[in-house]
Amino acid sequence: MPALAFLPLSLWLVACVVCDLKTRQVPNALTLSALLLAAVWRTIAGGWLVVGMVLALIAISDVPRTARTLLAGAAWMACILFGSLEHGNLSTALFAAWVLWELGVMGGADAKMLTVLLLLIGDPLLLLAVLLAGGLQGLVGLLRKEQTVPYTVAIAAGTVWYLMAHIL
Amino acid sequence: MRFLRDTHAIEASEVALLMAVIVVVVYGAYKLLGENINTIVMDVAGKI
Repeated sequence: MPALAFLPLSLWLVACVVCDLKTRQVPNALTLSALLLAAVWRTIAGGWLVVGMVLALIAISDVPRTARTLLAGAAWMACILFGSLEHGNLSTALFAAWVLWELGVMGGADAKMLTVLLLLIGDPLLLLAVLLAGGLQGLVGLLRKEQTVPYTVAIAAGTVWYLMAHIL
Repeated sequence: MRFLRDTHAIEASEVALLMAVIVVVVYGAYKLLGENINTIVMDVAGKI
């Protein structure tokens, strides 16, 4: 990801968190436009196979559950078998985000945000940073007996943590 | 498409904590056993 993208990315993260804090939703105007940009960026960067998998996962989201699971698994396997190691790892992180949404562990807005960030940054370690930030946030919430901390905060915090550790 | 229509966001809770614990355990196991597994795989590959 180019360093110039850091500022707009930070602004986008703040906008998503603010929307979530206010309405518990992140509008498609924010997530879909960013998803389109991230998909174009990843395609230009040579990750067309990964982008293809993401488009396939989106396209099959209305298919009945069993067929959906099989098709999603096939799309992921295709990425691993026909892509490079880097693309295989990235597709695994994207597939994991999709599975978390599919299981209802994550909301659609969270999953779209994660997909955008993974496509843009291109490193599966970002998912680990976000999950760890989410865990820390969950722990603090439990200790303070607060059950209402939006997960987009963890996504933003994990992303900033990752960027500070790897880019800045 | 359901994925694109879904705009709701969840709140972090026990599940987020559980996911983080799983990540730490899996990563720890990988760090601990990764080299041994790699050696076994290389041994098997060498015998084939």
